[in-house]
Amino acid sequence: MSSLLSQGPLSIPFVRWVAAALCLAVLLYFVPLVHFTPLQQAQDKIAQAKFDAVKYADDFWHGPLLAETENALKIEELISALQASPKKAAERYGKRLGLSSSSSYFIRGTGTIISKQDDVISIALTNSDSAKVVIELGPVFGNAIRDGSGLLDISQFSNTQEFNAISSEINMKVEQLVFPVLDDPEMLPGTVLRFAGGIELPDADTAPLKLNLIPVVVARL
Amino acid sequence: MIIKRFPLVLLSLFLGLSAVLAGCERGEQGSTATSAEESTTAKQKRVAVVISTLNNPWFVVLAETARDRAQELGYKATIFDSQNNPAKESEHYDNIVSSGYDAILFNPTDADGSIANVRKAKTADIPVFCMDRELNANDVAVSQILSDNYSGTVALGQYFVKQVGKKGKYIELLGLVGDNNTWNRSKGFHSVVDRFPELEMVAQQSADFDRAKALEVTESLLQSNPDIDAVFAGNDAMAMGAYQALVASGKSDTVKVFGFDGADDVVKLIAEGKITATGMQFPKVMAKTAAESADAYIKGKRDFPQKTPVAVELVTQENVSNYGDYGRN
Repeated sequence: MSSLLSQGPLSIPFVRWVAAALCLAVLLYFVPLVHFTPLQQAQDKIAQAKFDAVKYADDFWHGPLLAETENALKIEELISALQASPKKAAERYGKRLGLSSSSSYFIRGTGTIISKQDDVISIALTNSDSAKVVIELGPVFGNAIRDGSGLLDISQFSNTQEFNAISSEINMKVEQLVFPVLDDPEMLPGTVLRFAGGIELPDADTAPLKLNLIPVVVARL
Repeated sequence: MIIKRFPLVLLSLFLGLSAVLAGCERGEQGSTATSAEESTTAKQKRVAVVISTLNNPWFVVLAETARDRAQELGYKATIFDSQNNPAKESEHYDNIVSSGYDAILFNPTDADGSIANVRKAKTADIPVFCMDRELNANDVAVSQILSDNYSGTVALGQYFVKQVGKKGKYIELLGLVGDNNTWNRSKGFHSVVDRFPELEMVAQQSADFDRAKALEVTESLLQSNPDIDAVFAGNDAMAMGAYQALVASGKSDTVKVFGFDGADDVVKLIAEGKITATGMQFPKVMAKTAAESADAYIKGKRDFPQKTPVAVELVTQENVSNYGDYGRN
């Protein structure tokens, strides 16, 4: 350093270099080329950006889905349409996901429990004495509610994993919120119920004898 | 002066010549058309069919059906094999863009990695229609026609529990880890099977959707887990590899194999009672829908759903007679 300063005229370029280095340092301080972030902070950011299916399903369930139960198709209408023509019933009332070989429906109705055996609850509709609706308590699979409600569009989600995770969480809500109501020992045959939920039916030429309901709402009347 | 500039001139000549040769190469790669054919089809629009791999009969059916449907609709169609290699796929896209194709029917190698390629085509105003495999982006492809893998494996998982029982040991063979189908299938299956805590997955390993790798992986897993009751394979090629390994170890009569795809060889083995079940995807339906969508786009249609799931159907010994030739009979 002392030798450089002692060179007299050479000190001007030296000062220029120092000034340039200082400018660069100041610039890099405000606009860094590399930004270091604590690992935990970065992981938290990724977790926040990740789709939260549990929260989404919770908001969906307590918001649009429960509201939609008021507008659901009356089950008697669906049964009558299915008996006339399953194909036309699907076209008129069914929701079909893409090029699917099944249709889903969102229905509501009232009825009476006529039997409760091995976690299978059979319900006869009002003014009828035969079981038309069946609810199976236990693990819930499929997309009857998600697709039957017609409220969610697969194209709104960045990938199908998110769309599927929602269905899985909705099914979990059925098990956690609705099945305990039905599992109540006081829910005996003879109990009159109001219900709403999803039904999934594969394409067929004949109407099914009973409809398997995945319930969103079950309430004693 | 000339001598001074000579290296520069030489370099320019070299670069120019390279560019010309590269252009020639691009023009010919993936195409089987002769120059005579080129001249007669000068005005014919062209469709590129870019497939993740042709080293699997299921994808060959997907590719050939897409090509044939595009040809029926009046296009000159060429198949490009990405060999499960994103770099190869990227090269194909460069060639397709520079050659000015009119549409791409695309089966991606990677849900994230392939996005940049599709973006390249989009920038060049070439519409892309995905088949079977998904991209993790909704703003690049015009439309994505996808198998509903998750729902398919939910049904397969329920059948698995019925066949294997609520207690047992199994191994899972995963496909390519960068592909969404791998995880949709695995998650759909586990959404059912994991509800039964006594069904224990003793090993889960990737065999890249490849039959030979599945044979190798299963052989190795059988060494450490000789008492398994079932194998769930994320596609039929791997199911075939696993079945071969079980035959070789004398366990094919006691270990149940479940696949996914609906490949002809697996459907035949289901009919013979050697493989338990598979999920029938419909490659021909997906390929035809993609080709017809591309045709509609070229003719001016712009309103396409971003995603169209195609249902997967469970094929078992009870209904196997309804299926064959990569679809319903």
